[in-house]
Amino acid sequence: MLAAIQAKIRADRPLSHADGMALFAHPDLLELGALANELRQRWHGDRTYFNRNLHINPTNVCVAGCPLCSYSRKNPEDEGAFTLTLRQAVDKLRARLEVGDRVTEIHIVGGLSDRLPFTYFTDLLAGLKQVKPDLKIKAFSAVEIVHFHEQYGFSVEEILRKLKAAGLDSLPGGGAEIFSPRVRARICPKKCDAEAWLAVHRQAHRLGIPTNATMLFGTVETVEERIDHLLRLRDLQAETGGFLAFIPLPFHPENNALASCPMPTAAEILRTMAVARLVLANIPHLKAYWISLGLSVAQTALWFGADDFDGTVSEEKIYHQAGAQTPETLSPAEIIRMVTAAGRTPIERDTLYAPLTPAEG
Amino acid sequence: MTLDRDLFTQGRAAFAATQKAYAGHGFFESIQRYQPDGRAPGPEKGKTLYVESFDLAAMGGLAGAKQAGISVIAESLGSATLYDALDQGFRVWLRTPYRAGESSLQRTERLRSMQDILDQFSGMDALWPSPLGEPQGLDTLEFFSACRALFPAGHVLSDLVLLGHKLGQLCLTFGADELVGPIGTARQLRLGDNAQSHDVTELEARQWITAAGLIPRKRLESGHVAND
Repeated sequence: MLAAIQAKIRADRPLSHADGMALFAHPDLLELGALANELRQRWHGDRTYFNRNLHINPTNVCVAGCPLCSYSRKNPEDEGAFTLTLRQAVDKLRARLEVGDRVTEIHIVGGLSDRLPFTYFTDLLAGLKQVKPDLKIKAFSAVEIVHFHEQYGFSVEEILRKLKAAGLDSLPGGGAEIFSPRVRARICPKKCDAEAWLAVHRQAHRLGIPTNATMLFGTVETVEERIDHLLRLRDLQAETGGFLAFIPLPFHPENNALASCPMPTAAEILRTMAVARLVLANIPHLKAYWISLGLSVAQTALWFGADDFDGTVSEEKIYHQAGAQTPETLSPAEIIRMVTAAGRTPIERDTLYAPLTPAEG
Repeated sequence: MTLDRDLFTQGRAAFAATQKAYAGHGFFESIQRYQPDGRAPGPEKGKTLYVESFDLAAMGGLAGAKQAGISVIAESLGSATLYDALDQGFRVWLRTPYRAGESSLQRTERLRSMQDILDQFSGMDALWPSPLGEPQGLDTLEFFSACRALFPAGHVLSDLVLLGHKLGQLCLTFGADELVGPIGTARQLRLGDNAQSHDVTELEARQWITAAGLIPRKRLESGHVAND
């Protein structure tokens, strides 16, 4: 079976749902990894991308209350709830710049607030760009965009145009979770459905806004539902070509209502990375998000299809609330050391994967 | 260190050797270090107590160890005490240190000295790869593959405390056949002194071994396999 799949991959033919199922069931993890690595090598050689990024979470007050979430608070008065003022948010960037951190990207995601005006978000983007005009801003998951649409009454297209005018450069891939309605009803019943998530990304791509895509795995989904998720992303990519990277995210069970789900095993994480690389052969980059995977698995994933190590990630909160044991930030030098030790060539990139000047600590 | 050999070839050779050594079984064993002052922290019964060989003198030698219920001697130098330990029925686990970033020459030297010890003392139960400092993912996996090649018919231990849970799991695909660490029947709450606990449950250990493609079995203090 694997030989037939290998032949398809070498001929650049798309894999079927049955192929995906066969890959997940294949007993030899290393054989699967070698196949994913072959495709990774063909596209990227030894190059492994990373960037200098800062995470800003404007608020954790969220009306969704998803069972999978360890991060959100229902009300602003709840213990641990916060909403940054615009000044506080912009000062986070200023603070990084003042210590010499050459941040090139801001990643912004937050709770679904019903208290903030839309201008809070456009002013946030504009304020950050004012501090560093060449900064790239990757902000607001499709779930947040749908919430803006429902909260403020603008169409999705209008929302995206207004955000782009204020400084938005790309959308992150969050909120996709698993597209299956059965799973969404269990883990995030108040988030937008798959069709809405895909529609936001389709619209963004049409407006020239590139995006990423994620898949949260290891909750209550079946392997079949994972494959279905990947194929729906591949179909949209075939239509628009707007996805830059795919990011598989293993579920972290601590401090949330799905704590009875065991965290995916390391072997399961690498298997999912490899299958994603092979099935999503039209999305150029596969990200090993070290915050979520853990450093050792992320480094190993660079041989299981991944070509992107994400970035320095200052101030990550969401996964650490869910029990992630990783550091909250890595220096460029640490990333370079880990990538080099993996036998790969580190390439510092911007948001759109254009290589920047040679990486240094 | 850079990977100048094929990771997958190394891994598959190591995994095949592991499968051959134990007919496709992978093991887990709850272990606890015994301190010379008599402390063996941890509330669980049924843990395998081990002592570092350099602590033996402070507890009355092998006789004292036997009296304390210790079944495993951990050793890294191949001292003459090992002859006696093996004679007296202790299991001996050979600590196999390594450091991320060391040169190929240093790594080769380490493995050679371990080989010398294995050649000198027959009857060793296990190799115990032990990182000096923070372990790195691929470097560790390569080292485990080398350890399996060094000790094809014995146990190669993946220490969940030294390696962390995820890297510890991955080592099962690269030559390790046994997870060791604080493995209990139920998870203790991560509070107070236990906040940074590495404890795992037997269920988790079984799941991790199964995910690596091996059949999980529990090893007891005696070194024998429990009847599941």
